[in-house]
Amino acid sequence: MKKDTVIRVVIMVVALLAGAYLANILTPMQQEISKDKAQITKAPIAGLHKIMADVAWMRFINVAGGMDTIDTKNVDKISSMLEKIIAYDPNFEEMYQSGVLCMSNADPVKAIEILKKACENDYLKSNSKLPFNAGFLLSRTIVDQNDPNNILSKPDYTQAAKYFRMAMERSSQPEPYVVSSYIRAKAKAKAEADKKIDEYYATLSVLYDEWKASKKGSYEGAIAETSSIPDLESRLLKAAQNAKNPVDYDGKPIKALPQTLALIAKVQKEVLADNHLCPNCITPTAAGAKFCTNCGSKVQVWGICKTCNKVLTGGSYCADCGTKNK
Amino acid sequence: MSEIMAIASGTWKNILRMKVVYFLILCVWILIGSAALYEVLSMGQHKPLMIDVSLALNAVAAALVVISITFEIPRELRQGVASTLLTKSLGRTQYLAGKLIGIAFAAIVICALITFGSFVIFSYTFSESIALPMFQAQLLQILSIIPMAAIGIFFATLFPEVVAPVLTIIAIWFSYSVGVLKSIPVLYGGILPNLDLFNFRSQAVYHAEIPWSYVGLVTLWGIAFAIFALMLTSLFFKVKDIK
Amino acid sequence: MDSFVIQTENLTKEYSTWLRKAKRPALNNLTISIPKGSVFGFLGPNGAGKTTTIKILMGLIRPTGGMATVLGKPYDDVEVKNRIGFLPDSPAFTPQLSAIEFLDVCARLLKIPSSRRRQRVEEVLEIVRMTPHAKSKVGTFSRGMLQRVGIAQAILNSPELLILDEPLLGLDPYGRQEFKEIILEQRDKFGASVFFSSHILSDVEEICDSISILNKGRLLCAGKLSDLLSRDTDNGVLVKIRNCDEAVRELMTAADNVQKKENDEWELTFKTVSPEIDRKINDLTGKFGESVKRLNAREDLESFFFGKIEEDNLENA
Repeated sequence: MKKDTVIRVVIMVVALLAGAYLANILTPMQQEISKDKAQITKAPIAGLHKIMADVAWMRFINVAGGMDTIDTKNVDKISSMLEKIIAYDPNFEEMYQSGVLCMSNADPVKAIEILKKACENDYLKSNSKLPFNAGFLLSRTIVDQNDPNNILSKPDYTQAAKYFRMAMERSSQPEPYVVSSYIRAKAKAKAEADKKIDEYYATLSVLYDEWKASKKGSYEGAIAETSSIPDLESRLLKAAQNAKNPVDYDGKPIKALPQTLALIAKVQKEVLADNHLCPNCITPTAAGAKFCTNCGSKVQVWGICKTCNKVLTGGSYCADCGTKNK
Repeated sequence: MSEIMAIASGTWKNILRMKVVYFLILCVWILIGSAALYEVLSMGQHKPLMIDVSLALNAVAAALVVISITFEIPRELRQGVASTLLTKSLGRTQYLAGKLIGIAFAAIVICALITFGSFVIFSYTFSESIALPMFQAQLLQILSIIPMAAIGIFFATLFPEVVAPVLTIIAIWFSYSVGVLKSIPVLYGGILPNLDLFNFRSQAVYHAEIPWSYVGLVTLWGIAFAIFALMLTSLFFKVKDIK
Repeated sequence: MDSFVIQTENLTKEYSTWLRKAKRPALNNLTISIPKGSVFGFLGPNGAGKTTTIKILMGLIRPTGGMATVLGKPYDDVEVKNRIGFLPDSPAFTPQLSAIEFLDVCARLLKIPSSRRRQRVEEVLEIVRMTPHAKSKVGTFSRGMLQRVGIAQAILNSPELLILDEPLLGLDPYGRQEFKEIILEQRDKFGASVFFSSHILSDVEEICDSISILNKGRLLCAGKLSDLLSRDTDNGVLVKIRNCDEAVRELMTAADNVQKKENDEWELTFKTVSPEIDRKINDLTGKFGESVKRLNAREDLESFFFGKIEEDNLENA
């Protein structure tokens, strides 16, 4: 072999080894950078997945827009189109938000399955709408539009609560409807699991459990300022009020369960002790009031000067006599 | 090196003076701009659509330039342009290296023009500045031309102009598509090209930044593969009779 | 110092393709030596192996047997090409480049220093009368213009050896004349040796001092042109007449071949000379002195060439 041929072969082998070495480093790096690559279709489309997803999305809009309704008869077509889009681009946010909801009434099981996968997607981890939508579908009974006797999906409150919770945690300030949905789903799950309790008890106990959980992270007895549920105490108060005076589905008053009353007392004592509540109806009382404005029960007076009994208006001293009040 | 650059400069001037190149760039710009019209049809997804279209068309333009060369080199060999140059003090490997640099430079200029135009169109349409991942995705797209040009040179040198473009298209398609062999890096990324290493089109849309260390390493991989392919080509080209 | 610019020994080239393994000989044991300073004509019909030989000498194709040296170096030596000028049979250049740009690329490949490059390119463009088209794209050039650019790139490095494949093809008569002058100038001014193949035998005869004839890959003959063509024809006579119409009129009808040359000069060839013609020629030379010259006729190159080829074809039929 001639000298220049040997040189060529040596350079070629060195370049090959260098390329293989670099590929060895780059392949896991790439998998780390773009995790969706593991999920996308292996179909040979020359790396044009994203543009193919766009084209498939526009085609979906065109097809779905041309349909009078999406029902059990045509949902398979819609479903396969959406699955194709996911195979091209598992991060297609709008597709999950609008596309999946299009088919949720016709194939809720599939829609939930797709949304569940979307909730696990790293790229979409800041999206709170996707778990909310999943929770929403999981907490509903959906029937076939063409055959009302055909139940397509039944509520799964435990799962629904999980996704509502996820939606709450993904938002720095969760919307009130998301929080309410979570509490409601969790309470229903609890009530379903224990036939001895009603929803009033379940709701109150859910909120109480949340309150307890938020206290676990407290430091040296200081009450934790943060909770996944905003306005937790006012919600507990509202729940306690409702539980104290329960009504049936027709709005008629019913008797509260003994365990509910016990829980209300516990909540009043542990959570709402500083809230100056009427012991009868748990309505907050105003400073200086001797009777509850809601039920007329006698209440403990608070917020008056220890010397002249005038209502304190703020600060440390009485505005009337100047006595220092703690 | 002077000889290589002489061939390279002749090659890129030859490509960049073709009117069809600027027609191609103009068509790509128009197509990118037309993505703005898809607001309703895409349910408000026209912004990511424009990013995707610009990246996809840039990839297609790069592949077209490389494929056009697979016509050009066999024609140069057949018509005698190559024989005129190779009868000067110029080694065959130097000739191939010059061609590779010339093609890569010309394609990089073309893709850079497309990128620049797409950024201007995007900024003007959406009154937004260009996010770093968009720039990085386009940059990687442009850098992918280095190994792609080497693939083009390999087929263009060894096969007639009827076969070379077809084989080059298949090779580029294959090297972007086959993710299955990734688990064997020596094979896929070593001997076989893995252009998917340059494919971060989703990142541009989802604004996920790519570490600069990755960009640097993948450029080195591109150069290493191009050298490997060039040397392999030169082993065959060295013994080839030039008509 | 070598006295030969090109030497080949049993140079052989056989072509075969992937599909057809049968070998087709293009060159068969060619052994020639081209002396330094000569203008060497390489003749042969189409398919004789002329271009194959030239391409082997330029390192474009690889021989299947034998050896070849150019300027004392192996045929595939890259560096020796700095000292050679080559014009291919159908020159083609990068179409989008201007003539001046293409020549600049060639100059860079020939390692002409950048300080002299531009000036040298302009010089050669002037030599081949292409200065007005220097900035036009090569792709727009006619066959003749391409040939001129081809010649320009071949002489760019003032080569010691010019290898030209069909250099006069595509040139008009003026172009051919200019080109012949350029070749001779390269030899006379710069001491270049010239090796060229051509079909235009009259031009070869005019400028070559040595030739070789190839047929079907085999060398039929090689040597100095004067030696090869010096055989007298049977009692043949060549009469050169200058500025003497009367002598022309007297002899014209009896001559076998009459050619009018430049400056009112005529050449009359008599293959056989009868006593009557012999007397008439002698009378005219006596009467007009230097204006009428009697010479021994020699065979022209064309007859010699055809004779050799036909002879070879008959022998190998």
